[in-house]
Amino acid sequence: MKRFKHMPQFLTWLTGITAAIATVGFAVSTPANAKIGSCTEPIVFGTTISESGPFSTLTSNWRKMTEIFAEEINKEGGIKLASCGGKSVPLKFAIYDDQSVPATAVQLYERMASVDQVDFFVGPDWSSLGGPVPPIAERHGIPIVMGNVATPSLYQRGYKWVWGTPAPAVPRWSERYFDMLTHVQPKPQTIFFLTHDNPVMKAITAFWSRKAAAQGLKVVGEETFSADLKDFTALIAKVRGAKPDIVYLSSFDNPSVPLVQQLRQLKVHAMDVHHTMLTGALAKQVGNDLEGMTGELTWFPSVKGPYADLFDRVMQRTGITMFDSIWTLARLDSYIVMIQAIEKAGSVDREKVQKALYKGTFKSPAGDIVFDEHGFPDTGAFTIQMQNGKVQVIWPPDVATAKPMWPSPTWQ
Amino acid sequence: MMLEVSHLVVDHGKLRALWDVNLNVSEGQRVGLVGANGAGKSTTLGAIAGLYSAAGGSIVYSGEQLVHHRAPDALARGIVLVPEGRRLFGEMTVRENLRMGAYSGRTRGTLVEGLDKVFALFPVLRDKQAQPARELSGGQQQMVAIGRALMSQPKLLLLDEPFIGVAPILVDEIMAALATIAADGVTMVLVDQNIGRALRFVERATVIQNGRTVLEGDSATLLTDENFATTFMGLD
Amino acid sequence: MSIDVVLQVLVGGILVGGLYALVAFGLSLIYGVVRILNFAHGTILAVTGVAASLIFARWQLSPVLIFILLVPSVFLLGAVFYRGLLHPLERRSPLEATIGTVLVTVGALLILSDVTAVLAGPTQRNIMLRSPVIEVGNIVISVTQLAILAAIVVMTLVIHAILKATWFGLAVRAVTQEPIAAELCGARSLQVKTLTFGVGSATVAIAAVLYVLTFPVDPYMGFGLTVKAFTIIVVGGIGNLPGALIVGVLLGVAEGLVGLFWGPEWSPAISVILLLLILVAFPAGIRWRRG
Repeated sequence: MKRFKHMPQFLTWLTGITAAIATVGFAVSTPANAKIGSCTEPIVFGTTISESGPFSTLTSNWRKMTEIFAEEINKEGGIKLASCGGKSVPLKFAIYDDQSVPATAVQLYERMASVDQVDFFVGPDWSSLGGPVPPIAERHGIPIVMGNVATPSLYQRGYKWVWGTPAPAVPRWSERYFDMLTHVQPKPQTIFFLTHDNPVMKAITAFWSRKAAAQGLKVVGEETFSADLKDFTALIAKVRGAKPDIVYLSSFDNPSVPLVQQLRQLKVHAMDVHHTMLTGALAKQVGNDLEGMTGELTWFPSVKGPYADLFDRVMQRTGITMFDSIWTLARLDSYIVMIQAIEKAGSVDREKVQKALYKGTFKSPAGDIVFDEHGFPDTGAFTIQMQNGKVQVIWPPDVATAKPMWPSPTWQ
Repeated sequence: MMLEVSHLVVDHGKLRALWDVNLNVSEGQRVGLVGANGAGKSTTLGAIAGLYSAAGGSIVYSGEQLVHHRAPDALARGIVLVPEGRRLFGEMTVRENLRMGAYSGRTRGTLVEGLDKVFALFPVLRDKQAQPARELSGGQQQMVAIGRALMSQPKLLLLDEPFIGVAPILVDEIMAALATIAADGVTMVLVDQNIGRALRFVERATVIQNGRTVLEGDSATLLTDENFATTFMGLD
Repeated sequence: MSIDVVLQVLVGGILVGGLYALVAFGLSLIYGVVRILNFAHGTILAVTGVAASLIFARWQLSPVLIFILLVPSVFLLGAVFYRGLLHPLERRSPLEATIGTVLVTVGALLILSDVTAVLAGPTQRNIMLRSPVIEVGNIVISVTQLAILAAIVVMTLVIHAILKATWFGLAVRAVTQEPIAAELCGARSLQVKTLTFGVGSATVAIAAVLYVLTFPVDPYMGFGLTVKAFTIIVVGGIGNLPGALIVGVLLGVAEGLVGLFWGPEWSPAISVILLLLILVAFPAGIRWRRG
């Protein structure tokens, strides 16, 4: 049977009750966690995954992936602790489904702090959850490294215990793409932004339309659309009227399905159409329409950074690819950063781990993750292009797997 | 006896409309159902035609007891009601109204003959057949209502106040048409607020008062019955 | 703003509006005869659209075949839905019956959406046939869009002909206008109502197949469509097909123009605003003259 990817709304309250009953049941049995100074008990990372609800399409197989990740870490001994004379301690996860619902996530993190007494928090995703969850970490003094929480303002609330590994970060989202635009011939002169009405996407457009103007691109249009818009004729008519060289789509993959199809159907011409979320899921839905489009990819296995082999192995064993599941890197990064921080602290002492994380630099397959004083990283992304049905990295040239096709032939 | 209604009881929700109605109609007869407003005449016709269910008593038609029959069941047996207020399909054309009269499977095949018969009876409708029914005068609308009932090939025709809202000149025309229909062998029950007019048309009459049958007799006898005349006909 | 852009939006608006009108026809038919507001009406489009897309993705059947396959199936489902779940409520008191039908149709809306989302996934799908386009100046019209427009016109004529010429159509109109007289003419209300529910649902299925040929559907999009259909029948008149077509197209065009001059995030609000305005301006309803 196919695993249920999506939790029906009318079942959510049922699940809620079940979860509440389960909470009472679990309260009796406390899972093992590493007491400070203990060198035998596993270190427990508490996390939630949006296995049901609207974000569930973005997280398929992550529970399995997380378990495999722990297995792979433990296969090589576990997490090395100086306080145990260099002895390694195994890693263990406590995983719950937050149903994509902020309130559920809050309950679950509260529960993991007080009932399960996990050692550290990792992972929660999406800005909607990344707002309410950090205060729990603050209150309990538990370091948290969040995954896909990409809105910078969420980190600027004076937190002491909060970090995140979104990849890419908004201020570096399209950095390489805009760098590429200064190098291609013919050089684009104008750009049109189409933005999905969502905090992250609007933040991306706000940031990058300013950058575009700063590097001499004329912004000839900025339009916003809601996630449930089906008929994009009006927007596309405006795009056609403005005749931009670049059409920049800042959108989650699913809401942009009709947009991409109708851009094709209505024969929009441009040098390039860029999508901030050029994903495998989108490719499955619109197929060949993606050909020649550019986008971002945070990492791909042929970029051999630190831990690349580990990540590659975990993803292969789980059966997911970066292109199909672009959020995976930030997820795994949150795990690996926390492990490095503990090893750096040499102890499971939360205070020491907190100090290790503060303004720290950590290794990741996509390059170093450098936290600013707010706990926000500086992760960038590679520019990709769909070429003959395959994803090719086209920028920067030193890691590119193919040359950019410019101007993109499918939009002529 | 074609129709025997005995001790009929009908409730409208919590209100009892008929307490004890008896009505007998022989084949080919014209029978009047008279009484004051609210006496239960329309309810009696409606119960026979299958619009209301009986809460007691019996309706026997051609030897068959009708129990919880619906209007289409009555129609299939040849019981056809021309309802009070005509109830035409106002947005539909005259022809469509008449066609609707032939809706039941029994009569669909003879649509054209049926229409010819109606137009022969009411020639004015032939010219108006493409007009929406609501645009017709009251008398013409009544002709459509009767014509629609004829399309269902009635054996027993129940007429509920067919002259309300009809200009006097057309009353006679419709009356004549009803006589023609009766002459063709169609049995009739007529409810008319004008008791004198009704009694001149029918052969027998049943008088209902407060949901009960109180009197029954030949119309000629009733017309000469002084007691009846003062009680029910007022100054008429 | 150039005239081309406006014309392009008009073309899109007419197309969308025609589809709205088809959806509204079904709702109007059902409401006219059965006197039930089917809140699940638009959801039938969403679910049928998802089914059509899945069939296309799996077996690459031609849209015509999918049409032949799905429309009768939805007809049956609609009929069974009425007979099994809604008709039994008619024996209740008017208040209980009204509340009952609202609960049943709203429940059907939620369950249909959720079950579809579980079985097929909550993502958007459609049948995107890349067809040649006709370019007139800066206006682009695809052959698919033209075919859909033609299909909408044909379907409107077919439904019109069915209502006008067949015994079923006659009965539908008769029951809508004078249910008691229709019963007296031998139209069995249960039969007519069941058939009408089937035909009304089938009409949405027709709209669904046409819809997924240009726009994606997702399991949860139905209620928005139902609201638009409500607006159309309130403004256009119950059982008034030409009225529904005109209002549907106007609504589609209005949404497009609002999207163009104001922003597409405001478009969905138009139907509701229009509905409110009409209700306030014409408290007694609009009297449509017969052509």
